[in-house]
Amino acid sequence: MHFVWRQKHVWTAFLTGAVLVACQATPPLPPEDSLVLEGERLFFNETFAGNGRTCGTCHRAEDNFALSPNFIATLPPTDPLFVAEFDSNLAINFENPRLIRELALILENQDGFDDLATNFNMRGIPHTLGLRASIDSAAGPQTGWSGDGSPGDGSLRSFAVGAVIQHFTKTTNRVAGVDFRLPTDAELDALEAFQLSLGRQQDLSLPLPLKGTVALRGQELFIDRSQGKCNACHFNAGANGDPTIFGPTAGNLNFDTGVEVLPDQPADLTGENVPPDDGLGNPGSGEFNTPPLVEAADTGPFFHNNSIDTIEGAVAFYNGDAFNNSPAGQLIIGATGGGIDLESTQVVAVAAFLRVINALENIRASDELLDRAFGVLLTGDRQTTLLERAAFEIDDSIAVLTAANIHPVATQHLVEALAHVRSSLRTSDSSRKQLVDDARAQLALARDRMVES
Amino acid sequence: MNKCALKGCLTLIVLMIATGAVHAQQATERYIPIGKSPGVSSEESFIGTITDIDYTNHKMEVRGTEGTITVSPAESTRYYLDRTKQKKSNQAATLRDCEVGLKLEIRILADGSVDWIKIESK
Repeated sequence: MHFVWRQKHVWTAFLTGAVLVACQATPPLPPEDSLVLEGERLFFNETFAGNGRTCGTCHRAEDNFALSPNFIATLPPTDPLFVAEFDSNLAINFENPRLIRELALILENQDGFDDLATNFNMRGIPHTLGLRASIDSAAGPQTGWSGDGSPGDGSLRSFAVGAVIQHFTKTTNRVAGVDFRLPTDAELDALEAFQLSLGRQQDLSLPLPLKGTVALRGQELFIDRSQGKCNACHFNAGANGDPTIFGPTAGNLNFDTGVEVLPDQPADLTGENVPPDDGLGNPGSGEFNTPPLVEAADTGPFFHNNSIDTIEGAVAFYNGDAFNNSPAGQLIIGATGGGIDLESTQVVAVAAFLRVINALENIRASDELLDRAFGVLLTGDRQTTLLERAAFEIDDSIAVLTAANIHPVATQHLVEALAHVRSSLRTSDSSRKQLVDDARAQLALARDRMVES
Repeated sequence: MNKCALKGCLTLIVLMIATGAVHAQQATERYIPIGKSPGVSSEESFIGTITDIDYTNHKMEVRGTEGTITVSPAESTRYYLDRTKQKKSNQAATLRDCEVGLKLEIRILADGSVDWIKIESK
């Protein structure tokens, strides 16, 4: 019998110590590659014959490919996000409209579909930025909040199949060919290529030569193994474990950090039915996936259940009993002789560091988008799309800095850059290129204020 | 701080993580018809027809285009009844739903264990 055991080969490779990093093994495609563009078209437009939702319904380009309550408040009542409010077939056991609108929480039947009334989780929507550097692990790819978000082989490529079944269905019968159609292999290839093209293609290399005093101190605390200890699990502010601690192939890891036992969680305070979320597996291990932090400051609310709104609050979480009594917290205490105990000034400093690296990533991304907008063979519509996305990024960089009064001079350059990009969107003549060039110059000035060249 | 202790303790955790299987989602797998599981069907699964079954000893013989295999489902093996052709919702199933003559798809993990079995409804 001839039988192809692809997984066996992969497993053997892992056991022999080979690097198992599927996505990294595939070099990035050019961002305007036809496969990436097809994936983008599918991501934002393809409903897979379902209830009208697309991938982009929840992973909004305008909202960092995630979804926040503030953005949700801007949507019309006919938006497919709210399909449970206007489609009687999905009125029961499909979503909780109040929790979507107030807390951006989406219903997931992570542990099965046999008891829809009681067996579900309410989870936030993780962004899809920087996936190329964030989801690979020695145990294979980790997707979604508990690392097991994809059916089939568990890969990012397969993720869309599970998403269509969970979120795109016309009824809770979930019959393929009736309530939705499954993505084809070609569509899965394209969707994967597009998602991998988003955001950073590699991790930072800390420490960065930051100029801001508080952010610089925050970076020191972040890296310091006796104080912040953040870098152990968020190596280089990414989603991977420190290879000097976890081994060179550890990559992205899951931990039980005690978020579930936090008191006074917003979802619980609503009085809605919000069952405990046991994380990875069924029954769950209590573990959740480590997200990257470079993109954190402008993608709140934070944690799998959107339990904390601010980046300062998210940093402070690691000071509390919920974390320090958790399995992950106990691990830290056992290994270092103490938990995480930052003073409030230090919490603010770490958060300032996270705000600054987020803004720097916004600047990098917006500059790249502006550059791409004037690439060869781009149509006017495509150029407009890229300019709009650049504007979203610059707007975010301003928001994350001004919210904590960080780098006011750099922020002024960013305000100028945003004004130029918005002006460019109002014109289609030759002045558009000059406006974009001016915007890029302002971005460079802003960056120079925040980090040494 | 005790760096060695941290490293040792965390290495243990890594080993615990690393010995687990790939983290694929179990819940939505049920609704994926036979032969359509992404990255699994045709690569990590066997599709065929049941030619013999021993309910007592949890063994079944399955003949497919690539030959005949004998598999031993475990306690942890998940069973799904694929009713897609009847345009009905797929259901959780058991070994007892497996009968000689029925088509099925079996996902066999690298260690030889049977992850799931999808049985085509009569």
